Amino acid sequence: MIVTSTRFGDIEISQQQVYQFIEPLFGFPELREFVLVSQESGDIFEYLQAAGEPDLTFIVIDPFGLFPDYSFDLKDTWKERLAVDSAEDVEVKVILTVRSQSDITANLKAPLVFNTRTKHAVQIVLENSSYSIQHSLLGEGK
Amino acid sequence: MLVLSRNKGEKIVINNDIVLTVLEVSGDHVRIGIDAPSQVTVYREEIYKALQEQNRSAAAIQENAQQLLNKVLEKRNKK
Repeated sequence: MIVTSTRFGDIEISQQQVYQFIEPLFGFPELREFVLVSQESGDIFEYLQAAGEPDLTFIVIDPFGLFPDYSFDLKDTWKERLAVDSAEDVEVKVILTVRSQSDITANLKAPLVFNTRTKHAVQIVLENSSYSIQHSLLGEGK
Repeated sequence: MLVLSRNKGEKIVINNDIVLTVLEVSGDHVRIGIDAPSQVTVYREEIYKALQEQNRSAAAIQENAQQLLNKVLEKRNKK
């Protein structure tokens, strides 16, 4: 299938590579299908492109590389709903908000959890954690 | 909006399988218990709204976001 992106043009991708969100991303209730796009090898960030909405692209990053202390337990409910069999199936990304060079934040409170095997995904909320929705990428708290 | 009065300990049943229980009332503060099937997501409204807002801001990616990120990550690595 072809996923059209305003940012990247047409992306040719097999249907098996498309992630199905089992709950919509907060604020975007009508979109369930997304693809992960890596632009250049070596980039630590990737893009989450909505299928069917060319203008909607998020910048995402693997939080564990950037924030070595970051951790959370995936609730059993989500493991079941994402059909997670083993930890190797799971990939975690967080969404970045890039406002300016001095204002880039990561949403550590609501990570994206992907099952790379079944291609199910969801944005979860770590309600009882102290992680911020706007964690500064430069380290100073915001 | 449907408005129901409940006393402490009383419940409200929604859709056969969602049960809200008034656990505790003290002044303006109310504790509510929620029993719901696991596929039902429940959030405090302020968190829910903040997350919607944050995702919408994140989706408004600037053209030069990638350059900005690279600069910042370079700086970070030097630290």
